[in-house]
Amino acid sequence: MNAERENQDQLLLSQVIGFVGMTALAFAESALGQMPLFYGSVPRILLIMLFIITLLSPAVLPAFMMLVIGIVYDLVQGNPPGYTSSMMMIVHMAVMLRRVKMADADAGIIWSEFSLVMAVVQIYGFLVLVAYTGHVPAMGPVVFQFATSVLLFPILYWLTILSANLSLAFWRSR
Amino acid sequence: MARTKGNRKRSPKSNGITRQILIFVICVAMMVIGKADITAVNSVRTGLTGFITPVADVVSVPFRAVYAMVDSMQAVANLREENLQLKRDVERLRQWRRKAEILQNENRQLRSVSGVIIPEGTTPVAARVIAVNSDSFAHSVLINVGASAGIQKGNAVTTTDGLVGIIVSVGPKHSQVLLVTDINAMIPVILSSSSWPATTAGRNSAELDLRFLPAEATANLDDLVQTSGHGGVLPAGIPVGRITEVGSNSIKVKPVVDLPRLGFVSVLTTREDPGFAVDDIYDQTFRTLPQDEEGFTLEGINALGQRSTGDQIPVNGEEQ
Repeated sequence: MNAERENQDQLLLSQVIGFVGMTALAFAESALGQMPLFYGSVPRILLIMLFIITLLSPAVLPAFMMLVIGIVYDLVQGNPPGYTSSMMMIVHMAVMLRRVKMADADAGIIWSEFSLVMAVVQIYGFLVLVAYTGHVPAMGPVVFQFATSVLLFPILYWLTILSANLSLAFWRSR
Repeated sequence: MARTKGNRKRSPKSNGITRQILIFVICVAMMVIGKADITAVNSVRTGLTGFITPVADVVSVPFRAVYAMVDSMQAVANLREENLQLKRDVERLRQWRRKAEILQNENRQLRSVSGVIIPEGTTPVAARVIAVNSDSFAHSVLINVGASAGIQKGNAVTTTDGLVGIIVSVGPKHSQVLLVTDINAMIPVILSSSSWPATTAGRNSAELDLRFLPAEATANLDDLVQTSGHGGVLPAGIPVGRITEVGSNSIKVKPVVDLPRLGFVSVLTTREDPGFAVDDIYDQTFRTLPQDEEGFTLEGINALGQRSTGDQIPVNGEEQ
């Protein structure tokens, strides 16, 4: 009983950390837009981290949490409310469907899976915008955002794995 | 024992997928409701944004600091090249200044001749950009002034260079600015060289499209495009951009404002009391055209407002 309760407490703690971390990331991604290099097309750091966390430990970010984080992001960005949350749900569902296959796959396969998911998300975002505004946006920034997100993925993936291993080693040493 | 339809249990996995699909449907419903532009929904949204804005402001501080640091390092590295460029610019500006003096004089004379009424002055309110939309699907910024500073929906947002965008949403302490490059932004403009009317349309990229230019009009490279004031939303005469490409099917305009480097902006509010006497300022700046017996004429007036040939006439109330 005690072990079960301890597990539940640990899960709750990791969910709180996950929520705070992802919300902070949403704000950080917004702030990154102030840099001229990323004007109008910041890499989708929020979706990259969502992909990685869902792959490693899906229980950390429940679906309703993604709804809240997405809405916060949309409010800061001035996007239609629900726009980012729906993108996050697509990423989450895609990872959950392919998670078993990706569990033992090497980093290259995971990277290609991420690229595929990002392509789907960008196409979805593009279609939603066209439906929402009735205009077709320029393709350059869309492609730039996709490319920078895909290029950034291995770095963030490696950093996440590294920090997870370090924190695990720290807890074991105590 | 065979299971009946009623007591069939769902697996946790199918429950999870159902929940995810349900939330996805909620997201889509929220977008549809958001599009309907319902007042109550907009109020809730504005209230929540006002709540979140201070957090976004705090989070953006380290990013601004990093950017400022990188920017200053780049500036030091480019100092020599910048110095040469500045010398060239100074020479070019001197030439422009001479030209401007001539044009200013001509403008002053034309005002008095045509009896142009100076439009009611707008009051600029300075604001800091808090967040820039980082999505490739929308171009907008959040600024740190709102209704409490007299900001209203539709106010023009400018820098010293020209038009930045239009206020589309106003909270008590923040406002959302739709940039001229946004796909929803359509600005009525005129070509400053020929006064032909047209409309600029954003494309969510660095350039704008110039649309609805009459077929008989001629657009030239580097022509300045400025607001026409048609529709009554934006004041006339604010520079929007310069023509960079004239194709057979499209004309491209580059915004005069460096939108990726927005730090501070001015919102042109249209409060009834601007806090100073606009007419007095214009009275001091613009004098009526000097008259002679033959009435008004612009021919033969030099940069100082004097006739270059023959009879000298008083300028700016000077006694002869």
